[in-house]
Amino acid sequence: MSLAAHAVKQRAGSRHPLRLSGPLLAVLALGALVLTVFASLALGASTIAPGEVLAALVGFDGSREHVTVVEVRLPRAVVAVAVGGSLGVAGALMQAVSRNDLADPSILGISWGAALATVAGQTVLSVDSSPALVALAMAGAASAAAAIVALGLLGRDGLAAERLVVAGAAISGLLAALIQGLLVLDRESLEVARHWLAGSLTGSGWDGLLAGVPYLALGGLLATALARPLTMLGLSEEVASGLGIRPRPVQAATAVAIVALAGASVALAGPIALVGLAVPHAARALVGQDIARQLAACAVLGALLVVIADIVSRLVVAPEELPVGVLTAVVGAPVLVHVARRRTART
Amino acid sequence: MKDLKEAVLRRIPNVFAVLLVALFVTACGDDDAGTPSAAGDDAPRTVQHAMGAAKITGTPERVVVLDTGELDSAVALGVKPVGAVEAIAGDGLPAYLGDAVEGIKLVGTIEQPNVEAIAALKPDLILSSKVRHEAIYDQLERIAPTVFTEEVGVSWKENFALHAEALGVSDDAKRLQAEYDTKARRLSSALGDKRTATSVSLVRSVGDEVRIYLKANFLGTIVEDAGLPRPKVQDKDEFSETATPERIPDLDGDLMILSRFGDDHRLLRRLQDNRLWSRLDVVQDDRVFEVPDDLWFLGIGNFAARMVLDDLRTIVVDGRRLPGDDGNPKTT
Repeated sequence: MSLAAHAVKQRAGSRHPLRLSGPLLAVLALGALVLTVFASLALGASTIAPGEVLAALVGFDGSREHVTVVEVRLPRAVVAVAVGGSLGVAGALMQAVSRNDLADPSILGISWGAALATVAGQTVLSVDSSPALVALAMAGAASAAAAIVALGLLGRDGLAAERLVVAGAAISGLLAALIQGLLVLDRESLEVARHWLAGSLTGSGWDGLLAGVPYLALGGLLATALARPLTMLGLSEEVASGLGIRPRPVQAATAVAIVALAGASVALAGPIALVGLAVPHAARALVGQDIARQLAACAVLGALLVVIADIVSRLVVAPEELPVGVLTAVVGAPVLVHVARRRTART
Repeated sequence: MKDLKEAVLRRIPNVFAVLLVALFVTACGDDDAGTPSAAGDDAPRTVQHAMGAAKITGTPERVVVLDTGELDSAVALGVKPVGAVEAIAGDGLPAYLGDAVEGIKLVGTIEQPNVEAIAALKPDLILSSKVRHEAIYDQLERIAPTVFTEEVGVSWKENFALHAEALGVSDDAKRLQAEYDTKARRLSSALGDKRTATSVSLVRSVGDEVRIYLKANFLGTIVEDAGLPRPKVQDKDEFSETATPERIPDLDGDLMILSRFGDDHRLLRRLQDNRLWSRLDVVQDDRVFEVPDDLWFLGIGNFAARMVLDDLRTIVVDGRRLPGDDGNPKTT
């Protein structure tokens, strides 16, 4: 047994992952995701029979049902998968690099940075094209991330976990207040932004997704490449440096990946709350501490969570819809409380 | 101290009124045969309304209205208000009222009336509704007798009657409402058997959403009074629902009335670019009719209602488009 693997076992401590083999787990998770995506194609304002959904996918005939499945619900489901997976992975990366299991793009203000930049672009600059809005979201997310890092460097020994969360809450509060200020000055945009700011997949289309894909791909590739260095750094900096891994470049690349994933998600569906917090905890319970497996699990579980939340958002008040962010927050808030309490009990 | 002074000042007209009545009663003595109508005009009337009772003397002449429905009622009853509010800041008063609203002072928006500007006009009656302005009722009531309806929109007929009572012209209101009823009946009979095949879908783009208007709103009641059916999914006793891309099929009918509030119609455009939109029967049969929003959705009074019936007749009986509707629903 290698030193690293041994240490992983030790860190996992008493919290044993469920004893399922990796491949079996992967098949189960992916199967569940495919099933929920299929369900999201069938369910909504009108219910479409599973056979009809299949027919629409394999032999599109242009009927009303087929158009609904392929041109309304399919892009929406794909966006839900992309956004959920990205937020899950971004959350896992944040928790790994900050060694703080309360880290999440919406808690630490990165989502709000992207949201502020997007709203400012729409109100002040009258930007209306998807690629430009995604680029703005990136700039906003990057600025918020830079602010967090700057705060993290201020303390003598970096920011302790709880203080990082408090700093993030302060930044989130500031950014949310700025958004409100902008919207009050521009009443009409207030109306348009109201749904989006609660996190919404209504009206998601391929054009928006296309604009976000390059950033999502960049974030995904970086995350894959970063899994091993992050695992090593997580063990100890001595182990890592013994293997030739220097912390600064790894942390910088991780920040880029987080900004790309979280920024693109906000541009696609608004600041959907707490997915990045809840999903990594579920992933660790399933696959343990190995970061490569965690990231893969987070991608699938995040997608699963957002697709299910989206289905529920369409059914609870059908034929009307709730913003999907309301539902993910309902799932995420108890996780936040649970994690925070566990930390307090430990210290 | 200031409050006390205000209270005293406010009472002075009442004191005068009491004195006047007392004088009059003394002067007339026991001669109650043929009490002059002047006495009726000068005695305060009590108007019961959503926030309590208002004492109004004679026929108010300096009226301030704080919503489009109240403005419409006043104009219908031949009263030109001294002050009114805009629906959208900078847009002015509804165009359909034309010259009838020329010279009316603007006193803020529906959302945010300017109480100081209202007071400066020295009104003798303020009209609005509980649902809109309950929060400033106390301030308004200190400025002038204030009459509030409970709701806006679906209850426009009762509201019109209350506005008329406050303005002291209830008989005129009854006559105008009968005119509306006659118009509605004539439209219905002009359509004859075609009526059942003329289901009307009501769609309105308001910026943050595209709404499907159901039955419990101003336009819903007019369409119903004209005897026209609604598409099955829209045949509900509620105000409105949101039209998401999923729900485009629910916008179908034998004809669609489409209206735009404000300047931002990106969401409507998204729906129109969807293939489900072009598959709608109303779109394929070229039966989407654009109508002016200020009249059809903001009028909310007897005057607007009669004009809407005329327009509706042009569309469903004559099969013609209204001026300004070029038949291309994608124009913004």
